[in-house]
Amino acid sequence: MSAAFFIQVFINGLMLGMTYVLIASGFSLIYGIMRLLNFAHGEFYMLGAFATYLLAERLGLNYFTSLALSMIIMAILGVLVYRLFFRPFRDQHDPSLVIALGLAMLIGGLALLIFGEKDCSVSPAFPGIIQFGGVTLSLERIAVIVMAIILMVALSLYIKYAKMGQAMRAVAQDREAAALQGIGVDATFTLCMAISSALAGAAGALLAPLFFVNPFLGMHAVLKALVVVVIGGLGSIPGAIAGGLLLGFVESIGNTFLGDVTEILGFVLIMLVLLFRPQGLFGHG
Amino acid sequence: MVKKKLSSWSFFLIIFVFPFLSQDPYVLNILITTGIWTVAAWGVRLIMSTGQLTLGHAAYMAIGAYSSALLVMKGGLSFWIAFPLAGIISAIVALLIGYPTLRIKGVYFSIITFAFAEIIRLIIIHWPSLLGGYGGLAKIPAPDPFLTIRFTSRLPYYYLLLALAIVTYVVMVRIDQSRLGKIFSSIHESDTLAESIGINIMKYKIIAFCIGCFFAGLSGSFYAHYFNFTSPEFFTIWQSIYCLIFVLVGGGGSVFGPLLGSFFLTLIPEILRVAKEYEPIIYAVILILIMFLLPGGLISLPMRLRGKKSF
Amino acid sequence: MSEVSFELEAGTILGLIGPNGAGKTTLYNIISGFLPPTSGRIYFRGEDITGLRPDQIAQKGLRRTFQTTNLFKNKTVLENLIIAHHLQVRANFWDLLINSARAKVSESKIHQSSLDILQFMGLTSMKDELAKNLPHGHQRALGVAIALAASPQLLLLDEPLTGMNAEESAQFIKLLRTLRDQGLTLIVVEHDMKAIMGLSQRIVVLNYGRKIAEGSPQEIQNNPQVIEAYLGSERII
Repeated sequence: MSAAFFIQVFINGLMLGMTYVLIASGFSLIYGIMRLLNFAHGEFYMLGAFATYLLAERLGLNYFTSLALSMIIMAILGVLVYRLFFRPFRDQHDPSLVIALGLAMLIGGLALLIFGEKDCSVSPAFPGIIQFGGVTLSLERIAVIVMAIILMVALSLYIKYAKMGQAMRAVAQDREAAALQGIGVDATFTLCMAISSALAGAAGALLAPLFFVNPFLGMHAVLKALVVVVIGGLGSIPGAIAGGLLLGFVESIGNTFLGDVTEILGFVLIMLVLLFRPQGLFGHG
Repeated sequence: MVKKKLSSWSFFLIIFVFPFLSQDPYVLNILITTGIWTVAAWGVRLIMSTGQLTLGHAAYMAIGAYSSALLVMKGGLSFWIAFPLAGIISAIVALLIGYPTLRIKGVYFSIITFAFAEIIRLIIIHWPSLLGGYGGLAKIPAPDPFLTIRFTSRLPYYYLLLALAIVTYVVMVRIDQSRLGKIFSSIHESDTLAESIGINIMKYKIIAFCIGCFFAGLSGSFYAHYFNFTSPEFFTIWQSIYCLIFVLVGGGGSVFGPLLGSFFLTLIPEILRVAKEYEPIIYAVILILIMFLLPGGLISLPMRLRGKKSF
Repeated sequence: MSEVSFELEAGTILGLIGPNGAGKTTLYNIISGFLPPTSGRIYFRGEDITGLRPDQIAQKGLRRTFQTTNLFKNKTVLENLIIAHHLQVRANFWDLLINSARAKVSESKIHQSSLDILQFMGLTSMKDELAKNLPHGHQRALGVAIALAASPQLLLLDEPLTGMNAEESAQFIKLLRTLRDQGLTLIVVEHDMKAIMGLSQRIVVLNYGRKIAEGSPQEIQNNPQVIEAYLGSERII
């Protein structure tokens, strides 16, 4: 096995990992701040991909415009979903979970109805490949990695330094204390949903040119997100990053050497983590 | 309470009498399928009565289905022995999985149940030699004749399932009304308090889990020998979620709830004469409506209508 | 929590006091098995109970109440009591399921015991109310009643007087004395200094997770360290 081969596997793992990171970060953010396991999160990934498809392929918009618009649309959708469906059940744990499940089914079902079963495809923004030292890499994949990293850096900076970002952290740590300090919990939740949904949409948009787009993506994405955040720690962004990259690499290597069985690995990993270190790599007990 | 008993038994009576009025195989099939899911949903309800939300019930149905099929096809056993054995095997797996996982709190437990279900499903897919893989296990034999009854048409299956349903119903009601049921609900209401008065909460959570999965195994076994075919496609997260939805829509407060829930959710798409594609949407809408308007499920409707003054 | 060690004589009342956050509830959690101690051992009536589960410790005769009222909210007061007798049920799993004659006898005994305890705590008139509908003071009384079921040997009370007015407190204190006279050993965590001083034979004072004093109420009231710990937060009468 040449070095080129390993570089290829590495890049694949990195790309897969970064997309997982994007989806999982939003998912983790929602759980950490809102204490909600949002099963509908994957649907925003799927809708983001479809939005990009509609904007780029049907309306002929520039890819980046489509990406940006998709993110905005998903953010708005996220806020709507929060206001209409999640807020009424804000402090009820089990009903929230059920509502999220119901929403996932609803959105997925509607998408199936509207778009049909068939795959759609989006043309890549960066067609072409680069070659060096025997390694062949598609430009698109590298672009995805770069854009994903940019988004994650932006998110991390926002959470760390922006006022609302710090507010989100405060609410995540101790909702009551934050409220006492005058932080608007509802506004924070709204922002959280907007950002998370936008991120999920971005992930969908980024991956759309590389894989097919269909209404079944949603459940698949949220299940992956679940694996990542469990490994990395529910509610932790560094955890989502670590977990996402870990899963990406494990799957890339697994798919290359073990084939299909790799799927099981993720779930076995979840069970092991939950049994021995339920808070994940970075979470707090 | 008496009212509910009356409605349950009259329900069973109607089901019993129905084939005398019509033996439309299409309708019989729907009723049988609904019955299978009801038995499974009753298992979910029992598990939920200790406060555990299971998202992987389909795994135990699958274990029951495949165990039963293999015991008959490869083990040469009669269905009548394989059937209860399938339930026991599911219960044993539940014990093995439940023991380390039931001590894990809340949402993490739910995730584990779901992860385990996926693992089971993927094992089935990746073991084609034994379990038939994606294509599934075909030519599962019908139950061998019971006395003079041969399982060559839908009707014997119908009555067999009715018998299973009645037995399951009686067991569930008995548990509910017994001290065991009171212990389960105390754990659900406050496991800390329950522990402080000497209740070994792990022991009882495991009991509830194993009994619930036992019935999942039975329903899975019936499924396999009724359809003469089983496949991992029948036991995905959606099936687990459907079981949960039947309990939630019908109402977990009484044993009648899941029965009502599964019939309601099966009948609605039929009445609306819609294609299978609409099913998830209809279920989702009903589920969301119930959560908003009738959180106690359909069985809480008469109480709600009456209780405008008392509460 | 560190360096807490004391001995408790049977049939006495021990007061456990200390400023907020001193670790009193934590100590309760450790003694009753809800939290494992990192070091040290706990002996109850000569037996080492360190590391046992809460239900196992309850079985040994040690019961407790909770600061935030823990009740079976959707059950009636009587039902709460009946369930609390869990350890007294003289019937096995099968008996329970099929409601055998043995189960029925056990049941009627428990029913009577529940009524007796309710009467003792003054809750008889509310026996068919749902626990969640009870006024706060009665909820706390119910919490104590639940802990009294199945005849405990040692009862840990966590701020039982909270939310009670003077009259209710006095009545409750009388109740506690009666229980002690009947042979029950009690540890009481309370902020009401007057009550604690009058009630306890001995007092242990915690601060910052450590025991800072132990002695008779008299000694404690005059202990400079204790006074300092409370300076600004409570006045010792």
